[in-house]
Amino acid sequence: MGNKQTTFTEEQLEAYQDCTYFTRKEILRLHGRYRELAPHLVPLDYTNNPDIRVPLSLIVTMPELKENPFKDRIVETFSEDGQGNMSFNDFVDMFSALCETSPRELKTIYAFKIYDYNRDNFICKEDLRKTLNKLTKGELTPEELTLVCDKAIEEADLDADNKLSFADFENMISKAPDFLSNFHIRI
Amino acid sequence: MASGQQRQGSGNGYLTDQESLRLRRVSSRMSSPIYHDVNRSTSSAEEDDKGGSELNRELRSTPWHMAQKRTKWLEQQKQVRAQFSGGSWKHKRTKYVRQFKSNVRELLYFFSLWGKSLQKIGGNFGGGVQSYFFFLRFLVVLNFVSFLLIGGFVLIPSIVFRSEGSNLARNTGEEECLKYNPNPEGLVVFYEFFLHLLSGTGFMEYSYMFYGYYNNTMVEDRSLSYNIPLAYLFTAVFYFAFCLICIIVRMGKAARVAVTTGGSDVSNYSRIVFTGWDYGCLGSKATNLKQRNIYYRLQVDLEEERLKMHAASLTLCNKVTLYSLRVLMFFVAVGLIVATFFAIATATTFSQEQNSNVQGMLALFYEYLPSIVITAGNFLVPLLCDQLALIEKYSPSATVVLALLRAVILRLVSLAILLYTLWGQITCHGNTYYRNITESNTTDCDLCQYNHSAYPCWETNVGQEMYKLTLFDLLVNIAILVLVEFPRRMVVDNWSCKLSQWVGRQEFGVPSNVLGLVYGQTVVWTGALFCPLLPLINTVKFVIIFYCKKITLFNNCRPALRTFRSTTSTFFFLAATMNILPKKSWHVRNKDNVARVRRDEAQAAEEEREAKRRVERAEQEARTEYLRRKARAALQSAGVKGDDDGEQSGASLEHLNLFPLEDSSEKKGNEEYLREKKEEKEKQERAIGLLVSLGPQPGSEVTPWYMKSSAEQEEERKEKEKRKGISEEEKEKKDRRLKDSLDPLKDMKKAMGVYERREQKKKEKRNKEEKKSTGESSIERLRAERLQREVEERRRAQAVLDQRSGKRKGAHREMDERERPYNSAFFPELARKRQRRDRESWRDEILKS
Repeated sequence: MGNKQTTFTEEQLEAYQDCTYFTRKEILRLHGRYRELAPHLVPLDYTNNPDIRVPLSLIVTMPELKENPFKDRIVETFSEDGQGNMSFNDFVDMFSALCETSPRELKTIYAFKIYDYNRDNFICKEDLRKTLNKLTKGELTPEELTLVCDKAIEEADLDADNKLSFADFENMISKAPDFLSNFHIRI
Repeated sequence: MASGQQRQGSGNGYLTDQESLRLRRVSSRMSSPIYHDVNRSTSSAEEDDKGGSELNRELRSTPWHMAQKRTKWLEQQKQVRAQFSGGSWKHKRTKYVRQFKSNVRELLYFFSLWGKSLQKIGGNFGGGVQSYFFFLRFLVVLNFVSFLLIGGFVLIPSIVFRSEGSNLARNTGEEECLKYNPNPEGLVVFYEFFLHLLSGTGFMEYSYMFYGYYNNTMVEDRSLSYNIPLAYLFTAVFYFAFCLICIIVRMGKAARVAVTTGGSDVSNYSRIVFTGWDYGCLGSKATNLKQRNIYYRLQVDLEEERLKMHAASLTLCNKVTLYSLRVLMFFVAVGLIVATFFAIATATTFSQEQNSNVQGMLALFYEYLPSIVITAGNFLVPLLCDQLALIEKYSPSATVVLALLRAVILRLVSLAILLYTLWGQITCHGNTYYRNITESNTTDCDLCQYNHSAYPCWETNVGQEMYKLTLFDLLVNIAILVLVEFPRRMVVDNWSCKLSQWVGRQEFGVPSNVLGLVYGQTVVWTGALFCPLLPLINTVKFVIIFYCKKITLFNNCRPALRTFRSTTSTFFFLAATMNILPKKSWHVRNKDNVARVRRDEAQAAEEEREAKRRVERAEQEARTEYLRRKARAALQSAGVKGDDDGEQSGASLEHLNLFPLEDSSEKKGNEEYLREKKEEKEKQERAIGLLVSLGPQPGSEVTPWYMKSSAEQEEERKEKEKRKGISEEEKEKKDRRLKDSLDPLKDMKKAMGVYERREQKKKEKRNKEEKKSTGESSIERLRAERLQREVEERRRAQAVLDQRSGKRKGAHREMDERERPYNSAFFPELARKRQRRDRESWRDEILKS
């Protein structure tokens, strides 16, 4: 790839390598995937850091994200403008945080952001309700939904303010063994 | 500063689990301020303050956006350059080490067995199934390494020394007991080759495969001394130790996760909600099933709570019945398992006795009889136990654990029973010693302490048994793939009758499959001492099984509907299946869940069609109404008598219906009949245990009081009051009716009525006799009344229906979260902007109007 045309300079690659959990090859592959989404928009040459953003509607067509019920939230969370328009930097960031080697605390932070729909730094019942609806495709009856929300908050809420702060969330996640393997997109 | 930099450099490699665990305490303190930098511009100043301490953190594990990370990185690079003045060797070294590490990692990934397949499996079927394949790979590698061990220390020296023809070691024991010459004599029929291959007899028996072939060779030179028997023994001991260490290391990983994460069941709902979703799921089918699975898990939890509530409210009598039933079922299950053991023992004895008498295919059958009985028992008894579990009515999680426990006991103990029976045969049931004392006549076992005439080399015999078990297990696996799983899939896919729908496609049950692997490995461990090549055979076997399972997984299976909660019984699995799997899934056939997805889709389509139809009809009605009005206006202007026409058109709205009552009653009756039929079917299904609903029983569909929130209760109370209010009118009416009925005047009227009616009848009769002219007019009047009433009723029904459907539609619509304005606390400018835009649009509208 590098022989035909340089996509990144050596320094850029090194920076990406230090800032993410990817190897040089994987970063180039990611660039290929990113370019695939919008070939007319994304140039092959990235040496001068062009400011190009691919909109959310294109990002979520990736097979890795297509079926994910939280795809919009993921893309919004990782995009710098919060609207889901992703630059290549955001794109690499997203998959770096979701890759296998990224540590638990990083994943926890991003998971909290994803589940915090209204961005008030707390997961309240309304957020939980939305999450649950996405998880079960709205199969639960309203009563069940309320019950599950109450129970979930009751279990994890340490300071009894009826919503989950980040500390509550982190504490809860640290007890969940499946989190690391589940919060992981294989790309 | 310099030391900090150095540490940062060395920490640049990939974080291992331990490191991240160690880091957690520090980072949890630090991550909260970092998290709060949603508006990051403020935090960068803070970061600079921290300076040195922040450098310790991996840049890549900070939750910043890439641009920020890169500027930080540039800063760091500058610092580094300044510090080491043109790249010191330390900096270079860390850089090279890092590059080397990543290269090694890539290389390892390239060489790791089945890396791509495993990734694909994990992507399509989730972590549970993937962990099965990881375990399979682990066993393959373990077996292969143990084969290398045995091959290197025993097999190769043995071959070399045999070809050289070196001296035998000193014999101990009696001459008679050392006679062993199993080589077949004379010509053999060609198919015997296969028979021998399958049963490990004939040419197989006296080969490197089995214990009996290895000589007591001892080489003693000036330079080298090698004692094969000693090597054999030590290798075996080392082999077991090696396996033990490997398993403990593997187990340790799982245990560490279990311990650090608590592994408790306290936060269950929150865990399902926040960590239940597997982000690696690909494909709509898998996602659908995963969603269903989560729904199901939540329902199971709710159900379990309900059951607990139910159990608490049980009467003493009910409790006694339930517990006695459970005890009874326990004994039945134990009886089943013991019966299997007895069957295995009998089969082993029988096959050992018959084995020398017969030849050919029958001999092969007898040879394989214990294996067949063990496999059949392991297949049938768990099935029966599943049926017992329906009666026992344990909570769902307990049921799963119980079923697994029974299966484990059955598998491993049946192997032990086989060995014990064999041992009994070999040592003449262990009573050689007593027989020596009490009876004078000698038996087979007297001479060599074991039955030498029947088993010239008993170690080889045990090895043969294990060899047969391993081989049979493989054959059964392949046979099931070819003869059961493929036909099943074809039938289910191409033939849509009720039975095949009920059977459905196969699910990949991880625990049962893991149990199969554990069983196979146990057989190998048992037989490795007597059949040194068994690890090699097992390696090949597991490789074949890997491909078989992969094929069947991708072609025949669907993803799991029900995931087994592993954390509740982590330590149970530690004991039972060595806790190889970080998580496991357990599948119970649950067809109605799949059916429900399909049904819901059909319903949605139906609703859509209905809505479309209604729109079309409304349009049509509006058009006819418009045309009619136009026509009427034209007529009126023409001066034609409008009254008559109006009436006529009103009548013509309703086409002539000869049997209006019948028509409607038929429809209603049909509906009722359908409902009855459905109920009956449901009841039947419930009785045979096909349908297990998770919600409350039909007929008691009211939500229990504990599920209601206070707001709902309030609402319900209000509704009740309202209902009461409505019924007040009715009450009045009823009251009046009661009063009327009690009125003495009524009696009089009644009497008068009777009299009058009699009179009227008489008159009618008379009239009929004369003519039938007067009656017709009254009938006509009645009919007109009835028609009017019907029209009225229909209109009202339509209104109610419309209202309801309209309401439902409204409830479905949900506000898109992206439509919502931003929270003003963090994005005041954005929130304000949106508001302003709203206001502007509103103003525009006003201006336009």
